[in-house]
Amino acid sequence: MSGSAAGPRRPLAVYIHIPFCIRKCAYCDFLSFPPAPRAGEQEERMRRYFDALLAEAAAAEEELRAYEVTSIYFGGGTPSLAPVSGIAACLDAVRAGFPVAEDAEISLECNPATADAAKLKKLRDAGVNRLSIGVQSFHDTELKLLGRVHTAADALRAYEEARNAGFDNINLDLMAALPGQTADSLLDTVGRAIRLGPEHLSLYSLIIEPGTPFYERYAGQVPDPHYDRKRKRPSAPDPDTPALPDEDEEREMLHAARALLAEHGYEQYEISNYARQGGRPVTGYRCVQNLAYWMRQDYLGLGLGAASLLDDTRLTNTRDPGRYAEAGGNARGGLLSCIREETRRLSPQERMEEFMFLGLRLTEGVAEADFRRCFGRDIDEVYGETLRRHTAADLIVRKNGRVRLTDRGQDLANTVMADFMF
Amino acid sequence: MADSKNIRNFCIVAHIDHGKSTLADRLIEKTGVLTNREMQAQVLDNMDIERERGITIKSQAVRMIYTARDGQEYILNMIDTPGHVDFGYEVSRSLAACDGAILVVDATQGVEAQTLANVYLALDHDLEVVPVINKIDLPSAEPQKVKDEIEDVIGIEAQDAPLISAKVGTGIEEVLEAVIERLPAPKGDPAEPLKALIFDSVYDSYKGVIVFCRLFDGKISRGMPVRFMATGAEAEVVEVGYFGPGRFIPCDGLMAGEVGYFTASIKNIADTRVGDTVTGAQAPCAEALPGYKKVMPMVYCGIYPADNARYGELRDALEKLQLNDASLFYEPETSQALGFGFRCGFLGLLHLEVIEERLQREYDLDLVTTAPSVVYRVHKTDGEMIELTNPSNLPDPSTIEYMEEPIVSGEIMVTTEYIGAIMQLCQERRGRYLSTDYIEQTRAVLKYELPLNEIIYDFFDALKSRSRGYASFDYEIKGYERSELVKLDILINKEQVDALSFIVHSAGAYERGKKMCERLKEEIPRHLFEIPIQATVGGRVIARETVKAMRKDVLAKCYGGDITRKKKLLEKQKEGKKKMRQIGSVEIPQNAFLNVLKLGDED
Repeated sequence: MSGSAAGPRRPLAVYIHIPFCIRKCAYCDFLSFPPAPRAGEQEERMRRYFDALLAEAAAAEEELRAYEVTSIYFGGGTPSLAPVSGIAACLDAVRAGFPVAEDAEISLECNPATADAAKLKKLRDAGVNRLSIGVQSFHDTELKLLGRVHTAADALRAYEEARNAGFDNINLDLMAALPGQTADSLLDTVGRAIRLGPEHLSLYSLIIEPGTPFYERYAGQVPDPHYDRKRKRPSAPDPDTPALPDEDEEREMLHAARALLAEHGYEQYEISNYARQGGRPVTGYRCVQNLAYWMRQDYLGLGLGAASLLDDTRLTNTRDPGRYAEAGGNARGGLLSCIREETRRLSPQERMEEFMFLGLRLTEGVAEADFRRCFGRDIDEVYGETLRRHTAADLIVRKNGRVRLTDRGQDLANTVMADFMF
Repeated sequence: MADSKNIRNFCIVAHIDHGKSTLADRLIEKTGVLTNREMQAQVLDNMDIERERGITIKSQAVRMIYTARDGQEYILNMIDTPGHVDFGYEVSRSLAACDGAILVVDATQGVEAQTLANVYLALDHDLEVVPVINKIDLPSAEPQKVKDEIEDVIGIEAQDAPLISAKVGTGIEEVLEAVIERLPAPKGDPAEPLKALIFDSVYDSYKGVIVFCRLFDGKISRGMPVRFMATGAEAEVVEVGYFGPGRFIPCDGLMAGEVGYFTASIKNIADTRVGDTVTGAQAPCAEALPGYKKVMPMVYCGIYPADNARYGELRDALEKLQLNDASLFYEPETSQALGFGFRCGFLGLLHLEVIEERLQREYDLDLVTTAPSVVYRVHKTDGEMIELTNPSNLPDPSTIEYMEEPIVSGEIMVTTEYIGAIMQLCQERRGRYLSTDYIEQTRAVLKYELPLNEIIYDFFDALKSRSRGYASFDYEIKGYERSELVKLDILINKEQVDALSFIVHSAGAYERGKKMCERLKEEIPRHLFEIPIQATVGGRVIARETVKAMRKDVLAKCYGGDITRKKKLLEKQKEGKKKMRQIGSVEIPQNAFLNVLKLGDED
């Protein structure tokens, strides 16, 4: 497809990264920074960052004439910590540069401690139509352990105020496999979330990532999925570092939570994501932005460390805040090449790998017809042996022209996906 | 060519760490052949492994010129010897080229097990021995006590022994004078037919085999046709020379009493056997020198290339190493688990490790090594006796009348406070106590008979750790004894893994089998199904572990569309799988074998 105005425009998802937080959570390895020591300095930092964001959006505009924006997503960091004026300016810039679909999904991640009724109202008025609230848990002991800056009560209040502000599409982020967490406490958290009735729920297992305080505390007791080795478990229970659930406990609590969600009409559509009935005609309340990632639609990432996929080329912005902010002063043409640290044109093989391992994250899996359309080859011609093996092992099912993971396949997704790599 | 009365051919013998190499450096320095700039840290030890371990493996020789206090110039040929018990054979072949030996004893440690072993070897070769007391600069040095000890324990005169510090460089001249005064000049007649002993050789791709030899009679010079008496091979000498420090220095010829090298465009390594006698092709001598006793390898293991495509490279490397290490034995073997490789025989475990390291370093080979095994004698009911070097080849137990295993006589020198701990260790290793002899109030020699297969794994390490490094050990093979031996097999998912089978005393089978299973459980990655790991003796399961099926292996979210990290993880996972060995339906990482086989009893 060319960029001519005559053809239909291709859908584009836009991701905007806001790398500021009140405080870094103990488990977080995302690209974000705690505030500068002095308030004035923090404001100055934010101002410079938004200037750079706007400059980047303006510079990207010329590359993206052929697209129509179907979703915009403010992720972080803590986007709700940023001034609403900055968010609004970004939205204006996107709207000025690219055609934005009338019903575009515009999401923003929100930490319960950073949003009050007035701010939420302003965000809604600026055009944000989907709010993703980082609840993580409804137990204050667990929240404290995670290093979250809010309580369960803060989360309830934020949810209520978001509804009052007019948000009719809300996601709650929840976490499983927390230190000291039991199936009962997870089910209690999930149950409370269900009673609130959000349109969407995300349920992630805690991953102990290197470079985080949790890694220091828990690296020794992380179960190794690939080896049946004895783990170090604390000899005496320590209230500050309760033990991680073991593998069996973790699977058990996730399976129980999944069952509870299904029972209350939350359909699992991806390994960690659930949506309620209703919403848009085709995608319902599924997150349009995330679907773009998994279905390999083109997306543009704006901001520090943001990733893009454009015309089968993966691009990654610099993770250096100084360099990113400085680039804002450059002329339009030079700016993008200055902040893009990595540009990788994907080979057909790499595209096939991605098609499989991203597509299989969705519970509906991948369509064999899509594979043929994208690559001009039959899926069996490329992956026949792998598909047969995993089907025999009850990890994959093939039905109605689709290939998807079984329940067991979901638990062992990496093992399955690794086999689709060349 | 020099007058043989002004020649001294000698070696230095010592217990490990008593300062032999340092003294050698000082002697070279003092004789002025080498400038300070040329001095490597330790000239004689020019192999990496040796330097790291602080031991000397390959014999080398160096010729030094020294003007003595009597005003005369002397040629001193120093032939280096290995210091470790495993290399007794190499020590022996170096000694055969010498007329005398310097015995270095540490002034703080005194006589140790290998001091005795090496001195007795030297005396066996009729060498004169000059004792030297080293490390007198240390505060804990007790030279007089050590002198008395040398006289008491070894029985050689030691009151005039030079007191030196090789490290600081004191007393070096006294050593050189002692060599000239107290060691004999070589005998032999230059007019007789050539009679030279090959004590080492190296291969050079331009010159062919470089033969290291000691001339006992006659002369050798360029253009002379020579014959190797054992093999009958003949060749014409191309180059003759002597050993400069770290290099070869060509000369016109060598004569009786001298030590040097020659080349003769010899391409076939097998023609020049260490220990053989070289003589003139036209005027040969009547009979060959006694040579050395052929040493039988005592420890065997399988060595396989990690990448089977490199089998040919491994074969070439072993062939090259064997050239100057006649004690290395190898023959092709095939393992169902490891593919094509070689069954190799070694003098001992250190010898095995050194060869393994040289293959890895000098030939850049990744290796998988099976559990070391000794040579068992299997007596069958039909009267036949088999020498078993590979446990996999054990005949059907119903056809075996009985088995025998090699036993060593071991001497452990230890300070009295650790006697209890060491006796316990020997007990655990099925040792038979013979005696305790006190050398002095605080030191004793424990004598034990031990099965060789109990000491080839980690006996040295255990000895050191239980005596805080104070015990020293020396052993020699005593003979074979009947023993209750069984073959322990390992089954992974019901499939027997040949590379993991080994012979063990029936009393220790359960313990070892259990440990092997435990270790394997840690090393075998989880699969989609449960994997039983079993240790069996004669088909009976004596230990079992289970690798549970994989329960969970799932990615967290792909955040903000940044999928590169997750992709790398999947790629790594896939890469790892490619490096696995397939045993039945189970995939096992290469290094799992290594880790399991390295298993020591001390963990």
